[in-house]
Amino acid sequence: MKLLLGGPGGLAPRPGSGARPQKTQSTETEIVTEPEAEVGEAAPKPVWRRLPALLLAAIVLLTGLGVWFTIEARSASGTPAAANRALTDVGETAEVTSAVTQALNRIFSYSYDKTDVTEKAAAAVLRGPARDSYDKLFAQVREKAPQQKLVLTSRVSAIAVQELQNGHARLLVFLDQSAVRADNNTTSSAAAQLSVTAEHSGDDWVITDLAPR
Amino acid sequence: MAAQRKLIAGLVAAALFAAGSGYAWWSAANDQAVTYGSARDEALQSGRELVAELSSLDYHRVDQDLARWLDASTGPLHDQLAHTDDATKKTLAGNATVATGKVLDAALSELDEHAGTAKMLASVEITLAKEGAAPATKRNRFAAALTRTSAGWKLSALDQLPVGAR
Repeated sequence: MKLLLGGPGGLAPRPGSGARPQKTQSTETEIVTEPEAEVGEAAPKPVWRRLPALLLAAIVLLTGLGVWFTIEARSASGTPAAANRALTDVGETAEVTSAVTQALNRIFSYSYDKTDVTEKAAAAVLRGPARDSYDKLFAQVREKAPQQKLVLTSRVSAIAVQELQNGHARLLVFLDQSAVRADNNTTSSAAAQLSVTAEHSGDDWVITDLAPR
Repeated sequence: MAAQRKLIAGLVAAALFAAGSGYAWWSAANDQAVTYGSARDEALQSGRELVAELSSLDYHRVDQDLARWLDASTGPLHDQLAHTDDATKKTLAGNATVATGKVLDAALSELDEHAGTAKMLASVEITLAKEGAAPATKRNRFAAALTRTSAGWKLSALDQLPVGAR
């Protein structure tokens, strides 16, 4: 480009060039030397001048990438799937499973002559709304137990953790219940499905909500 | 020159930031809790749909529904369903019942991501609609086994859990 531009410019007779003919010659020699001289002389100058701009551009680009990566990293580890530790945290999943299994086995087993055992267990593991739901679910049993000489035995037959996050858990529980009436020696059995909400409290888990499913 | 040194220091800092956050992204995306967690949620979601699928049947179109069941199943359950004989089909059609299953609640009890297997519990409400009769609903407890295939998760077992099943 420079040669093309410099060529005609140099060859074209300048106004008043006739007064100094030597000038034309010197211009012609310049044409030959110019491209080389420009590369060797002028090239470093723009790079030195552009370097700060290039550095700045690189800084902006890398910072932009860094911000993007950070956002992606946050969203990857902050997804609901990652936050929910059910099954992924094997230890805590096993712990809450075991605690809820034992608690349910105890609070849903009831003997007409040992009601205090069940009452104590319920007081120990039930909190808040779970207490009300339990009282509703159990009202009939409490009422009929003395005259029917009722012995109710409940056993968790299947259990799975749906959610586990920050000491808060939700589980689906299948309960097998069998009732024996000592007054007429009849037995009956029933299946129950419960959605259980549990919270870590101190060293143990307490049940904060119970809902039939 | 001092300004340039500052810029170079800035560049190094920016490069470190980009590299560090890039690594953070990579490790977050490959974190077992993330990959395993999304596999769990995906298996559960598929499982819910498949169980609902297999607890629904319209007597008007037994053949189509059986085809649907075959599509939703794999392994032993698929084989079992594939052996449905004409007598059974006739019985299903003759029942004149439309069964619609709805999963009320479900949870994964096991997940082996490497093997591509999972176990699921499901509480299902099945509505049985018979012509000339009020629809009846019943609740069923199911234990389902899921297997991952090239076409996604499929049911490899579906067992009802009556009282005292285990």
